[in-house]
Amino acid sequence: MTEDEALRLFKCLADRSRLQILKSLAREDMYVEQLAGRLDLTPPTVSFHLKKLLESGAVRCEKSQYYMMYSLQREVFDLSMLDILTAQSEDAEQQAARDAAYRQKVLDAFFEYGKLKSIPVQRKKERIILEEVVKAFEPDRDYAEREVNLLLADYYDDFCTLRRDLVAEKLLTRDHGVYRRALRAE
Amino acid sequence: MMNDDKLRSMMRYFDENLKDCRAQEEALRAAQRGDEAIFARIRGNVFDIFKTVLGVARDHEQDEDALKRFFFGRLESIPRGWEQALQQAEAHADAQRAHIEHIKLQAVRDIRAQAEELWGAKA
Repeated sequence: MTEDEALRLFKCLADRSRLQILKSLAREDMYVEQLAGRLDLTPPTVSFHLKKLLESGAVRCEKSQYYMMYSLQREVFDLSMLDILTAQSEDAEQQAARDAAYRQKVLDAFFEYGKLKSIPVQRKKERIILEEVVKAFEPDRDYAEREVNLLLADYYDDFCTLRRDLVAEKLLTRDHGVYRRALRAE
Repeated sequence: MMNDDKLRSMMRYFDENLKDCRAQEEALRAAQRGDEAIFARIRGNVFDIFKTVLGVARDHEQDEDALKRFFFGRLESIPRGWEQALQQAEAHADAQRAHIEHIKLQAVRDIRAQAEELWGAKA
């Protein structure tokens, strides 16, 4: 279920009459007049609510002899709240694509043939650069400062600044002269 | 000559219906029946419109026949647009819009029945 579908469904359910219609349909399939009689609503009012429920995907209908029979769209209600909350939203996908494109643009601008041209002044851009550089370090491995310098020198001549910035951004940890790639530096 | 009793009676009819609609709207809203609360408000709005029309007729017309002509004339002309809207909604299978137009037109039918009971058939 997409985020828009979930929003439409929850908005539609936030009405006592519609909830009661759904409760009735959970017990058995029904037509408009049956629902109207059971819920003490007029048939046009029931039709109005059913139309909204149809649009939200909560119910389905099919012609049965002379009547339109309405039934619960059970697969929608079989979903758990967690299924809905963990579903990747279209917005999130679009945002992720935009972030990836921006990231690549920054990398292209500051790297040339694998070598850093300069350290960006803007913090956001510098963070992107440093996240790329830190990939040179293996996780779960200790590095002496000399090893760190050698690795960083491949990227940038001023490796001391780069090293200090990596520590400041918490992408590398330093403990008694021993460096490690931080756990969150994925 | 204006029959004030009939006029007062019709105004009372509007006031009572307006009060009922507002009470219904509040009760429905409190019961988390938002759409039906809106229907009650729409019905109330129709009573409010025709109460205003009757007020204008009372202030501008000198005799009862002129008042009846004015009022029944508006009972014909004002809902014309609603009837067209209903036809359009039905043609486009827009059940939600159609239901709202039905509510407005039903309120007009109720008002007309009351007015005809008081003043007889339309002028």
